Amino acid sequence: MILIYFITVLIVAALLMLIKNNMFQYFAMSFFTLLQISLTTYIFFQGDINFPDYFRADSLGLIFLTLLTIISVTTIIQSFVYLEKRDDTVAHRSFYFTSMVLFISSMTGVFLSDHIGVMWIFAEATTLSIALLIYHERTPEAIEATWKYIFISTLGLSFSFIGILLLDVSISGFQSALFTFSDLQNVFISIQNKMMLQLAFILIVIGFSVKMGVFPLHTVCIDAHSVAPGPVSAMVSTSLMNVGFVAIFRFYTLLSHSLIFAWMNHVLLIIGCLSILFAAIYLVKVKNFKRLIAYSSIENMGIVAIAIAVGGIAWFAAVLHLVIHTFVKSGIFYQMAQIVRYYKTKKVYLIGRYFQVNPLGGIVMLFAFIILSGIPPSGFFFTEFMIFSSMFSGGYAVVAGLVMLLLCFIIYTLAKYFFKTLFGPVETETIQNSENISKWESLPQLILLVMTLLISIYPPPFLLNMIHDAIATLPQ
Amino acid sequence: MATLLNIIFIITLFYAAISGRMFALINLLMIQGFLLFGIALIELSEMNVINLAVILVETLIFKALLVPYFLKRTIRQNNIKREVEPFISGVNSLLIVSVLIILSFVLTFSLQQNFQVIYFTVAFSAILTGLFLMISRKKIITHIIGYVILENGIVLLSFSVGNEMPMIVNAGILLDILVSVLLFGFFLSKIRYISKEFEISSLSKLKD
Repeated sequence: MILIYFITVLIVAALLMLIKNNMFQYFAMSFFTLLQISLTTYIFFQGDINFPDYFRADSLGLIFLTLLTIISVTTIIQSFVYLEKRDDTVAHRSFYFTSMVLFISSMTGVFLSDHIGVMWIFAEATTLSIALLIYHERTPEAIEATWKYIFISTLGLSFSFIGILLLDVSISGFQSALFTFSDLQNVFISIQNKMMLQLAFILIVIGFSVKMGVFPLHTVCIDAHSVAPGPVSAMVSTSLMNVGFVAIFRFYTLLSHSLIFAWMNHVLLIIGCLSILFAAIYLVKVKNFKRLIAYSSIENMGIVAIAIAVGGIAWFAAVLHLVIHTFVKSGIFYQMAQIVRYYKTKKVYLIGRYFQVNPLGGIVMLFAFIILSGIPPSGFFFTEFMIFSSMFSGGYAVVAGLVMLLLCFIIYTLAKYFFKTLFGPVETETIQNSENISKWESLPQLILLVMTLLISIYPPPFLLNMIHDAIATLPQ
Repeated sequence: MATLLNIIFIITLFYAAISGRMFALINLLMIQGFLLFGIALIELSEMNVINLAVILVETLIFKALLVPYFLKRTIRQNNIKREVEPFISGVNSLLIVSVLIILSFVLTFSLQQNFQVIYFTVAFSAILTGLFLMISRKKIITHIIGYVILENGIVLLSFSVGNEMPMIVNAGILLDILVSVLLFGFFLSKIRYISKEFEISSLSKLKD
C-alpha cells in the first residue's frame, strides 16, 4: 500500500511538471487529495502497513498523519484561493503544485517510517521540496529566506545524521538488531558508553530543531514563515513542526531507558526555556504580522519541549497541545493570507479595522486569539495547566514561575497586535479601495476552529487512547 | 593502505585552509572524492557485492565527478571572482585547522571508542574544517564547498560503522545530498538579483 502511494505520488508530481494546464492542475490536486485521504483511512482502520523493517504505523505516527491529511486538504483549497488572486504563469503554478505534492508526501514518509535512515531521508526530502514553495513570490526577501532555510536546514540535518551514525556505532556489539526504532527499543538499556549517547542525542536535537522550531536553529524557520505564501506558512508552522517533534520524540523514546534519561530531560528543559525566552524578547521588536505569529509558534514548541522534559502527565499534554496547535495555527495563517492580500502589506501598524472589512474573518481572528491565549474553553488552558502542575510537582517550581511570567508577556504582545488588527485605526482609503471578499474563503478556517473547540471541550476517546498508546513505552 | 589514504585526506584539509583560489578548492573536493572511493574499496571489501558496487559507483560519480563539475559550472556561469576572500588570513586558518584536528583527536579518545580511531579522527577533522570554512569565508560558494567537505567527513564516519545500512537507504542518502548541492547551485544563481558580489553580508534583510 505505502509503496503504491509513493509511486503514484511520483507519477502525479512528474505529470504536474510536464502538463502545464490549469484544468489538469485541478484534476491532479483533487486526485492527490483523494490518495492522501485513502492512505490515511486505510492505515487508520487497518492499523498496520505491510512493509516490515522500513515502515510502520504506530499511534504517534498515525495521530500526526491524520492531522497532516486534514491540514493538507484545507491547504490545497487555500492554495487555489491564493493562486487565483495572483497572476502567475501556468508554469509558475505547476512548480508550486509539484513541490506541494512532494512536500506533503515526504512528511507522510517521516511519520510512517520505522527505519532510522529512511526517516532521515524523508526529513531531508521535506527541506528540498519546500524550497520552491518558500521561493514562490520571487522577491529578494524570498531568495534570502529560501537560501538560509535550505542551507541551515541541510546543515542541521547533516548534524543529525552524524548523531544517527554515532548511535549506530554505539550499538555495534548488537549485530543482530535491525536499525529500526521498533527493534532497538530494548538495546540501549545495556549501553554503557554515556558520552557517545549524549553526543548523539545533542546532535540529533540540534539538527531537528530546524524542523521543530526550537532554540538553536529556529531563526531560519521564522524567516521561512515570514516570506512564504500564506497556505505554505500554515504547513511550515504546523505539520513541519510536528515532523520535528515526531523525530525528536522518537529518539527520546528510544533512549529513555538508557543511562542518559535524566540528562536528556535537562537538555530539553533548557532548550524549551530558551525558545520561550527568545520568542518573548523578539516579540517586542516585531513589526511584521507573519513573524509575530511565527514567534508564537516558537513559544508553543518551547512549551512542548519543556513538557517532554518534565514527563508524567505532561507527555500526554505535549501531544494534545500539538494537536490543538496544529488546528488553530493553520487557521490563523490561512486568514493571514487574506489579510496580507487585502491590505497589501505585512506591517502591523498599517493594518486595522479588519472586523469592519470582513466580519467573518474578524471572528476567525478573535476566536483564534482566544484559543492561543489559553482562555478556558481553549484546549491550551487544559494542556498548559497539566504541564505547569506537573512542573510544580516535579520540583521545577522556579522554572515554572519564570515561564509563566514570559507567557504573560507574550500574550500581552499578541493581544496588542491582534486587537490593533481587528479594531485599531487605519487610513480610510486603504479600506475603501479594496476588493470584495468572498464569505466562503473563511469556511475552512471556521471548520478548523470548531474542531479545535470540540477537541478542547470533549476530546474524542479514540484520540486519548492513541495518545496514551504513543507514550506507553516511556518510563512511567 | 587505508591509513595512508586517511593521512592524505588530512593533508587535503590543511591545503583547504590556505588555498586562495576557488578552483584549487574545487579540485581538492575532486581529490577527496577519489580518496573516499579508494578507502571504500579497501575498507568495505567484505560487504556483499551489489551493495559495495552501489556505494563505490555512487561515491565515484557523485563525490569525485558530478559535484566538482557542477560547482565549477556555477562559478563560470555567474562570473564569481576566483579568489576565496577569507575573513581570516591563510596562516591563521592553518593554525586554526591544526587546532581543530587536535580537538578531533581529543574528542575521539574521550568517546572511549576502542576501534576505528583513525576514521573517527579524520572524519571529525573534516567535519570541523568544513564548518570552519563556512564561517571564515565571505563568499556564499565557499559555504557550499565547506558543506561538501563536511559531507565527505560524514561519509568517512559512515565507513567506520559496523552495522551497515541497507543498499536502498544508502542510495537515498546520497541522492538527497546530491539534490541538495544542486539546489544550492540553483538558488546561488538567484542571489545574483540581490547582490553582484555573492557575499554572505548581502543576505541581511530579514531581521526584526
